[in-house]
Amino acid sequence: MINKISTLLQNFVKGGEDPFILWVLLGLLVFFTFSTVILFFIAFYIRSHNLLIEKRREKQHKSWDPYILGVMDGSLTPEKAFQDIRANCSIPYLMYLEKYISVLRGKEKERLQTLGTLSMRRIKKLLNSPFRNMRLFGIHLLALFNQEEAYKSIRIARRDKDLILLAIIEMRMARDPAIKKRLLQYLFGLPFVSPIYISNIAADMGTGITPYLREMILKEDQKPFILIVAAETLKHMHDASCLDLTAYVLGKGGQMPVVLAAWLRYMEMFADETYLPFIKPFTAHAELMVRIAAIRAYIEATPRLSVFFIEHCFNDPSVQIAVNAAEKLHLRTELPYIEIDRIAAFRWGEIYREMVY
Amino acid sequence: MLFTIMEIIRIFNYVVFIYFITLNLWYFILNILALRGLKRYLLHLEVTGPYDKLLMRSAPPVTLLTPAFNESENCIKSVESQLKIQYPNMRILFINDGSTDDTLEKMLNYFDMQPAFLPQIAFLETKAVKKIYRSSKHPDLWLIDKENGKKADALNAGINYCQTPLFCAIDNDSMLEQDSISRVVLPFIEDTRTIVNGGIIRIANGCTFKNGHITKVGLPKNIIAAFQVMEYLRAFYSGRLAWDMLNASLIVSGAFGVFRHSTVVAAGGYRHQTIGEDMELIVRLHKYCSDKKIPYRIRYIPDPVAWTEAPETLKTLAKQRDRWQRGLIDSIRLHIKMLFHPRYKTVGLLAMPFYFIYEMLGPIIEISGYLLFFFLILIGFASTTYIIAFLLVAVILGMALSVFSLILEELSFHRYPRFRHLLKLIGLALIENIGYRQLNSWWRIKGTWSYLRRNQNWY
Repeated sequence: MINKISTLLQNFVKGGEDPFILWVLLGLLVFFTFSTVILFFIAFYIRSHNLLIEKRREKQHKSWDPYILGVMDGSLTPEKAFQDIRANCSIPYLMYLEKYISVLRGKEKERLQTLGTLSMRRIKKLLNSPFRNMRLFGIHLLALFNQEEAYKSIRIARRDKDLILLAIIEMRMARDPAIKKRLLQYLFGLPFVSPIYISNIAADMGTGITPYLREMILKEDQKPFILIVAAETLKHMHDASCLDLTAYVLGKGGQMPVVLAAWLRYMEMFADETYLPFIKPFTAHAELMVRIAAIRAYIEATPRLSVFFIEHCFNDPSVQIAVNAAEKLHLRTELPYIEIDRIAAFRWGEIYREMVY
Repeated sequence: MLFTIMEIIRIFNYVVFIYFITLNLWYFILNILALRGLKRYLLHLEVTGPYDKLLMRSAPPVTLLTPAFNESENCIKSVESQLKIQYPNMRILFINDGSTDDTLEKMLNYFDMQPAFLPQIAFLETKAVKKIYRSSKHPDLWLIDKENGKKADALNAGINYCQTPLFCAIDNDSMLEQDSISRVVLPFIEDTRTIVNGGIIRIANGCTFKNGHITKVGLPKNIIAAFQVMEYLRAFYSGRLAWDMLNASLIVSGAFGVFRHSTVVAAGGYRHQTIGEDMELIVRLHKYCSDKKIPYRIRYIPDPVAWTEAPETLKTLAKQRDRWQRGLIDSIRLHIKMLFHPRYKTVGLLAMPFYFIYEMLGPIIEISGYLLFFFLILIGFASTTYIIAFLLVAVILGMALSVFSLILEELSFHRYPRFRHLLKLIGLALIENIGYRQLNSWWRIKGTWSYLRRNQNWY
């Protein structure tokens, strides 16, 4: 085989008698030239197609507008409008309807949602489509027009992390507590989605989820990830009702530093003096992130700071402690008197002098 | 003797052939991956896009690091454009790297900057920082005045004084679009593993800017800059998207990339003694995270845009390509142990070998191939018809790849709005393969040569 290729190559370079290589080359040349020309046409086609679609959309929007506006102000019934609207089950139409719904509230929004539900058969078909992007649209539209029924789409999205996440995002406004609870279960089970992302979605579900969050926090051997998300969610919702659980979480032995830091940050938000005894021990924790969170929470919650505590902050081996303490101290109206010589002796005295003094 | 020479030529012919076939196979695979990646990203934008905007309420603070050396002409314009970026929590750190012109004076006067204190958070080794200033007009604008130590040193100084969990390294001549930071930060919010994310770089020549922002997108009249438009499209659409799919991006452009501060500090910051500090840092971050078994993602997304001025003369372009090649060789040489090492997964087994063979050695193989064919024709040893047919196949394939990148652009963000832009781009895709491509390879060979002679000039 190798010998054969070798002979062919030698013939190619020498321009030997064997015309095979030349034919192969010419074949390749014709093939790639043809492919390039086709690619040119594809590029042209896409550009022209996009332009045409844009124009067609403009036209369609103009034709849909009177019906949508009619339904909005109540001069047309959704059923009548649905009968007269062209392409009333198409994705562009439904996505256009969404644009109105997303900026409306109250009765007008409800009327348009009713109009949208009339296309439900098509939307349900999308959910079962073999194409992922169609299923994506299906989930999006189902949640838009019928939040309470939308949890069904999670079953369709199973095993596809992105689709589950999308389905949860779409349904986060659902009112039924049972659905909210299930959504949270799914949400907390998603791997590698950041706590910030998850807590944002969970916070959108509203304070109605607090009892369930409490239940999860109090669960024996709860996963650290869930404890972090719970603290972040409560923080996003400005919900102080779980502050009483901090003693339980912080007091538990063997808690991961990220969990401790998240809960200390939650405590920082509410500046409740009664929790100072729980915070204090963490200001000397071995992990930097815990110390930072504890020092910030402690300064926030303490009505009168001692010189010793300030000294402790500005003598910490890490500059980050000094910077975080300085940021917090800078916002306080009242500070204890510290002699200049004593400040100069601080390890991070310059930071105190420049940022707090 | 003659027999030995002919034997060497024969072996070299094999090398050229194998190189040609495998390179194009690679490009084919990368294009398919890029198409998949782009489709996935566009769907994500379409459906979760509105939610992404809501996520901005938890936007992590970002510091823009802009190193500058003798940028008197651009510094005000560039900072003004940065001040207009829409992002809820952003600080700008302009680093004057010992400029010998009036960059510092201009900045101090124009933005009314006063000496200020900024605590040093990290302790990466840098040249001495002389003074820190803060603008009284814009409280989020800071300036670090330091002794000259080249770009990596300036960036490290910025990292030392960066107070936020994320920082964005940009070139002084780059103009970021208003929503670029909010877009480029999203992967950090969505996935805890993200440590770096880069956006697309587009050529600003031919575009119209007003108050530091793009008002009209156009193509450059200068042919050299126009070729680079096509080149950047190919690099950012086909190459980077595909490597992102494999989590094996080796380059996040120094002109626009966001980094997780703690990870970069832990990995040792930018390396001073290298010319391609941006690529070297990315390769080192891959190594650091793999060695420490830290789950990580180095991302690239194609819609946050930074516009940058491209060189318009052959001389400046040659200098730039020379520098890029030296940076590439240096990054690969420093981390040669990662090559074909299974511990580094797709990076060690795919990306590093690709960059080593096709990007580093590629120009040498390509140019010597041309020379050899020319020599063989000259001595009557090779058939002109065959050689021309072979070269034509290579050129047409290059054209096909360029047009494919254009299709990806058309399928996604089609930033060049007019029909004549498309026609011009197609024309460029056709002609850049004849002359410009070969010239590029030649400059890169020169870069290899100057690397071997240890030329470490950056500015």
